[in-house]
Amino acid sequence: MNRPAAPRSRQLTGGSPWHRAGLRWNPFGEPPPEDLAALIVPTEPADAVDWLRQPRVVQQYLGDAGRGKTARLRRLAVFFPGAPYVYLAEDEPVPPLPDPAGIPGPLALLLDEAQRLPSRRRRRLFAAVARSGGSLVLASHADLSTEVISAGLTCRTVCIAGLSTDDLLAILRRRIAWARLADAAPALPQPDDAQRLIAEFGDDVRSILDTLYERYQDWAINGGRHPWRSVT
Amino acid sequence: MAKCDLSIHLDDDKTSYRGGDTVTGTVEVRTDAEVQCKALTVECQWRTHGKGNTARGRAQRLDLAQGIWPPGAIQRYAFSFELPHGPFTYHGHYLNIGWFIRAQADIPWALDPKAEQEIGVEPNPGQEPEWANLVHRMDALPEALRAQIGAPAAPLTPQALRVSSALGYGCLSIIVIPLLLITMFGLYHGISLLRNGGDWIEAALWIGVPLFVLAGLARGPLAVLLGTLRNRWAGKRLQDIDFDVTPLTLRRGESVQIRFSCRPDQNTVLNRATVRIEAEERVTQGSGTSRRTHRKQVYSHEEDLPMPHSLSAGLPFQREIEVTIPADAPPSFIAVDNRLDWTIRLQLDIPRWPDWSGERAILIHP
Repeated sequence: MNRPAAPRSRQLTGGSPWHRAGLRWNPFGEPPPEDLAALIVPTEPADAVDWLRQPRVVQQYLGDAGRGKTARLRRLAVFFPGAPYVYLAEDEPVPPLPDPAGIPGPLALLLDEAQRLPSRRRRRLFAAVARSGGSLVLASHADLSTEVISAGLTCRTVCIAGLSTDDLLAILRRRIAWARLADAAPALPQPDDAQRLIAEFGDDVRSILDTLYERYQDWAINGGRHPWRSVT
Repeated sequence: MAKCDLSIHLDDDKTSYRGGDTVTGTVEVRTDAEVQCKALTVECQWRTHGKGNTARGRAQRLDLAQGIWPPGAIQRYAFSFELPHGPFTYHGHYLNIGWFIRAQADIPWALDPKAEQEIGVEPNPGQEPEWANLVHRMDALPEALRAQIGAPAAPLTPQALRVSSALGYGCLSIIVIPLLLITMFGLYHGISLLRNGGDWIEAALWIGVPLFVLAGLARGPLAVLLGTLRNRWAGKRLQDIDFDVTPLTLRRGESVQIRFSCRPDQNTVLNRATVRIEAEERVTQGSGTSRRTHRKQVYSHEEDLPMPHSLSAGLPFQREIEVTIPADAPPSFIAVDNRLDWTIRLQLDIPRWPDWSGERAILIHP
């Protein structure tokens, strides 16, 4: 379950410019939902999974947009298949949230953009989780730990900031493994490449992926320079 | 080695097809231990990839087998799918359309083994257009195009009505009304200061600042309003404007007639009239606050509409131009979060007068 999505497709003769590059598609495009979990690099999954198996606990992820809050929730969802994932969209009515008591397994809910839930409904949700004895995962732009603790839950907050060279390399290599053809060995980024990207974009993974999408398009479609400096 | 491996073999190793062709092949299952399979299925489906959220067509699906596979065995299961006439394989900048044969075995208490093979699907030259295979969101088409391809008119959904009215009332009550009140108070106070011989700088600030803020916030709606007003104003001079594009649906390599007519109410000098044909990929990525739309122009052709230097007052004027769509142009495609749109724009540059512009959407079939 932890390994990246396995390449399964063979070369399509002629046609696709990506196949000539040893890839099925641009590795830095938007993956389909079914492939998303396998592309997420775990930073603390084992730790978080153990924590969430305890009763009445909450794991809260705080961070700016593009830092990987949603990715972490998606990753955790793999370990708790019965727990529903709910994304609260902006400017849309809040969907009905599942009753924590009715969820089999320790984790009751993974709630993305939790700060958008009106405070009264948030308090009701936290109280329901406390009553059910389950656990909860939140991704939020605002710190909700005070409300969580008031409801009688134990809160652990993970502030997502900073990006190590190893983590970025793992993210990029997983993407390429996901996109490569079964019988091809496309070039992989080296630590130098990752360090350059971190120097340019900081810990904004979304901007890094956006830039690499354009660089791969330029290389595979227009015959431009290879995205990795290590490849001559 | 895994307990169970799947692979897909297409007959004659063929990977390029035309719409209407039949794809035949086998799914090969290799096991190195006894495997119980709840269902072995194979699907044929198009899906998009690139920068936008994945859109996909309805899958043709076959149930191939279920039961127990013995260790060390190789099983082969034949499949056959008839390909529809579109959408066709496309590789653009933000938008790509691919066809995939995908096999999957449902194994209890284990990772389901999968195999996938991409195939190329090209248009069949003699085939009549089947718009439903290219336009997967009829509601996203302008009314004229819907009528042209025989699609029913799209009613506004209750959800769309609810959201738009909720947003409208929300904006009105939260932003517009307080701003209008502040502006009116500022204007009243500023004028009162001027009337009573107060400081004129203070009066100018009371009047100017709220007006400035209001104009800044209303920039978007103002741009739309100004565009409409500009066309109306230009139309006052040109009068009885008719901008017509026929046909609205055509094949690559065919020509489109663009006709413009008017009856100016006074002698009107024209600097230039240009017709621009454009194809644009437009994809949407993510959802909520991280929802972003990416656009890329993939075809653009501009041509001058032959015009006299001036149009005479009261005399009807008409010009036509025929433009051919290139034989390798990307076909139209409209699906959720992924589309390739074709438009024809006409712009008339009238000196010392607002320009007139018109736009028509067209559909291109391969």
